[in-house]
Amino acid sequence: MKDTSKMTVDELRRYRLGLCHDAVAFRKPDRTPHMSFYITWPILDAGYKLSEGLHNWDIMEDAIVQHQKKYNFDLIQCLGTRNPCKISEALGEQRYDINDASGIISVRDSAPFSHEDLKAIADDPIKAQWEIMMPHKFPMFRPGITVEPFNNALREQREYFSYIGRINKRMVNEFGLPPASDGSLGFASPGIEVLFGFMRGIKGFSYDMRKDPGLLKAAAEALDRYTLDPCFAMIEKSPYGPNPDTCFDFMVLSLAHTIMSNKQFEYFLWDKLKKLMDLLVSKGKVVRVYFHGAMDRFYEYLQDYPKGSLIVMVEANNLLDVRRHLPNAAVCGGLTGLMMGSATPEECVSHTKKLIDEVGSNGGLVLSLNAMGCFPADTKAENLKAVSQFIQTYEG
Amino acid sequence: MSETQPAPSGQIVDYTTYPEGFEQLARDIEAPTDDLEMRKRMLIGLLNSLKD
Repeated sequence: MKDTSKMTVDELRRYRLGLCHDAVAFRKPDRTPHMSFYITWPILDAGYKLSEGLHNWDIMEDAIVQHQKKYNFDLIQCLGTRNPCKISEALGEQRYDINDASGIISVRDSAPFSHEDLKAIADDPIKAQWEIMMPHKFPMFRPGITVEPFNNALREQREYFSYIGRINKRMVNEFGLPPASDGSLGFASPGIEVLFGFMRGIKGFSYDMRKDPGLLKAAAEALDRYTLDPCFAMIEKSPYGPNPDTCFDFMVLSLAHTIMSNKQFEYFLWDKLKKLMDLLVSKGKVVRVYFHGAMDRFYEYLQDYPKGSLIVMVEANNLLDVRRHLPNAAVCGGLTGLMMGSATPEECVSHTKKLIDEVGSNGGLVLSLNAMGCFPADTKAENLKAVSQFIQTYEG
Repeated sequence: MSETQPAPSGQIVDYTTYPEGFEQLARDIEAPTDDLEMRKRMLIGLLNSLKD
């Protein structure tokens, strides 16, 4: 095993890239790579309150830097960018409930559109969002609103983008930590996911799927023009082959499938996702698939992609079971919040060793938490420390 | 509260309407460009952030 302590920052970055690329290609890696899948947990672990970290990018940056210094990850999925509270707060919305006493953040459910509004979304999604969503979500969005709140929101958005650039650069240049995905390919958010997650809510979306599936699909396709189609254009324009400077190329993420039958999944979502994934694979890219929840119902859709093109993030399935059904796909996950938050360091290390021996000894594994680590109970620091130290010295 | 506001441009507008108010807001926001289409894209980008 290579001695990383003597590596320059750039050598370390290339070493980590090699670990990830080997894992996806099922080449025996120098060791198994370790990904951070923590979201707000690093704020608490660094000794800050959630409300402080989520409202001050300097504090968030310090929390992420401490996170990397303490645990020495090979890649970090979220660099503190997932909950940019201040943009919507500039327009008066309290989207998040933050409880500093318990260290818990929750997102308020929001369903600004009714079933009857789907036609308006299908006709003109920007108009629908402006005239229906904005007054629903922002009480100050009324006749008489001035330009100032918008300037404030745009300023917060610029601050947010500036933070993203800053933290990414710092991680690469200071810690040799490569980006997880290739940002130049965009981020896909299919319209159907937007409708499910932000516009109709679980109850409304379930009703829409049954009441008028054609109209729901038309609304989704209208949204796709803004949220998905630009990705197709960027991928088409990209050079052939994986980006050598990123761990993987593109993440395909789904949550809406959790309330769909397979038939509904095929009708509403898979036709678009398949086109996207087929294009990515035809361009030689490495696709990371994250289907929230249990994914065994969806194995069949992923079985034909070539080995080396796919890594699946596994939230609620046994990794060996995934490997058995998807021998073509590398897997990412393996550590549950329940174990990391309640077991002993020795138990966590023993589990990690078993996982590497059974699933990752010949590549095909990126170790990480199985779901987003947000709350204090998701992990005990001493457990993460023990697992991190172990994985950096265990060849498997 | 009056139902409309004088914008920096001097026009009386109601920003909550579409497309008129939206376009006027695109003209009135602080932005590093005078190109109206780019300003509208900035607002669409903001809208995208606000829907989350």
